[in-house]
Amino acid sequence: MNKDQIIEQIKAQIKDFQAKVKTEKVGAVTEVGDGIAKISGLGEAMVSEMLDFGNDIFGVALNLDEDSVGAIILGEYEKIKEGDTVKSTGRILEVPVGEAVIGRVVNPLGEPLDGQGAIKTDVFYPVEKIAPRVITRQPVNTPLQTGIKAIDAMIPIGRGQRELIIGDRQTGKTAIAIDAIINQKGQDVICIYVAIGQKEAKISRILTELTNNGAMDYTAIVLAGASDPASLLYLAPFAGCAMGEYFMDKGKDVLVIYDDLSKQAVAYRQLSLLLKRPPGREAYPGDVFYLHSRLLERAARLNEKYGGGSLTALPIIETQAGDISAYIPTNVISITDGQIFLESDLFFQGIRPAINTGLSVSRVGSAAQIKAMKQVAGKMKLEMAQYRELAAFAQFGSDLDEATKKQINLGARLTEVLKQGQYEPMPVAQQVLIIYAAINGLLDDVAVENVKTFETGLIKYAVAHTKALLDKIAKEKALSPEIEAEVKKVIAEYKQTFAVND
Amino acid sequence: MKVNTKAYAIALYETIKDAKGEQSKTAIANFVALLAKKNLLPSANKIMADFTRHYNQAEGIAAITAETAKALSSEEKDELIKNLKKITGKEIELETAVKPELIGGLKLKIGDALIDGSWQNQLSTLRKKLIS
Repeated sequence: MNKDQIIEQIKAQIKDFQAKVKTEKVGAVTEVGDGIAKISGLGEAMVSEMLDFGNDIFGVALNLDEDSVGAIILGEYEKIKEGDTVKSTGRILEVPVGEAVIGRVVNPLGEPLDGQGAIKTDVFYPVEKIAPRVITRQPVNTPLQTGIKAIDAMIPIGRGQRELIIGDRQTGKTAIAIDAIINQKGQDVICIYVAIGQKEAKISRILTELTNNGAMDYTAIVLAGASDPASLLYLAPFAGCAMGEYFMDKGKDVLVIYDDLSKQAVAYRQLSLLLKRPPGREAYPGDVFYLHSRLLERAARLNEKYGGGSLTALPIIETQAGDISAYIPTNVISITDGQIFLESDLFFQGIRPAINTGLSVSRVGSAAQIKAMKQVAGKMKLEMAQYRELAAFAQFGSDLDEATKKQINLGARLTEVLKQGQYEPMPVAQQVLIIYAAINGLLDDVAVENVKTFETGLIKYAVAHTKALLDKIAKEKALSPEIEAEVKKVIAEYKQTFAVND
Repeated sequence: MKVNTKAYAIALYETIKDAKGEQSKTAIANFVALLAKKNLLPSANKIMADFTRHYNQAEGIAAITAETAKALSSEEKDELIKNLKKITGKEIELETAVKPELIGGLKLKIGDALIDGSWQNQLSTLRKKLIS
């Protein structure tokens, strides 16, 4: 295009241009600071309506008073002066959604942060949306494989479930979430990772890891960093959820990770206190429970009539010194369908992922497991509980009867089998194989310290020699007597070569 | 206790509505004395603002601010008042302000509502349209 053409085009556009003069509702900023503004006027503003502060700065009305409006400012509030005009827009806050956000890093307003150009989409979803109603839903019955043995075997997560990941700092909460994302490769699941108040260095590391594992092809990251205004931290999970809902409405399965909601609660507390809402327990406002419940209720499994999509939520909560009875943890525990409890003691004992299998539950239970996994892992939770009880006694050493010894041996081997490295999610068929070996006492003659090597060897052997069997387990999803016999044979075969190498 | 300034404003309006000459002066003096007694003098400004709003509403007066790039001549002002009266059906209390940054056109403020017919606004709308 040469410049004459451009000029002609602009001329044509200007010729057609007709500015419509319309009545707008305006207010004036009377108070501004710490990410919130008080505005006088704005007579007909609605709750959570978007407000235009000019210069491309927007806000959201949260408090409606008799003659003023309290609003949070999304963006740089330093540029807003007292007396500035504020226009109401008549729209509620929306974010761009669609395929364009996949593989991208965006802020909670859907603006790109990865320097790869604008998000090109014409579909917008409101940030606050009423959760799917009861007639649109169906029970959770399809597993969402995380690729982590301890979770898939004992605390299964179903598509459409809300499972809390809770634990102290540095216990591997994010690691579980990232592994779960990586394991969705080829499963036709869209993942949204919402980072709230995280260090940007950590996000950069996660981004590299996801890219290296090819997970960014189906993942979007919504980032509200530690230095972003509290208003963005508060909005981030809702924005991430809206992006996920688009795919759910399209009939796809979505996994959304909120990392972490305790920081969002803190951001919301800051905004509420600045807006002079009365503080309650731990200075959180009275509606902090509703803040999380309305967010997590948006996780759903829709029935076939409504497309059959699902949105699985994995919220993360950080506890202080293992205190799960603090305000926010108890709230979120009661909202979710179960929790994965991580402990620093276990972490330092080398049991990683440091999942406390006693305190962790999944209220959806075995409905979210394939039959083969149900068959092998059914007893596992009980065995582990008994082992933990006996292990406390066994530390005093000395005389134990045969049955107790057996129980402890089995428990020690199970614990060993459940250990798993980071970024090493395991396909469900392989999980079934190794757990079958452990739970049926086929590992009893392998020394505890050799269990790990045996496991890696067995998997390698099975993949190399009996790929058909693994495929069969994955396809039929159940252990028929024939398959079971084959599984036994493979384990016995490998054990021979293992004994020779030992 | 939160002070209901509106109630005071309405009360003041009701007392001086029908008062004449000296009567209204005494009423206002009494009102100020009451405010002093109740320690409400700090909110006097708010009461004044509420009073003006209530007075305008009760008497059918619309307070309008008109902003223009250049000062309006008195004929233009009369014309504007006449037209506004026709549209609103109310008595017009017009305040004018000169804002050179508007470039041209007219910007009207009626309470919370804003009718922006200034060139500044139209140019910025055009700019947005050309960019997108």
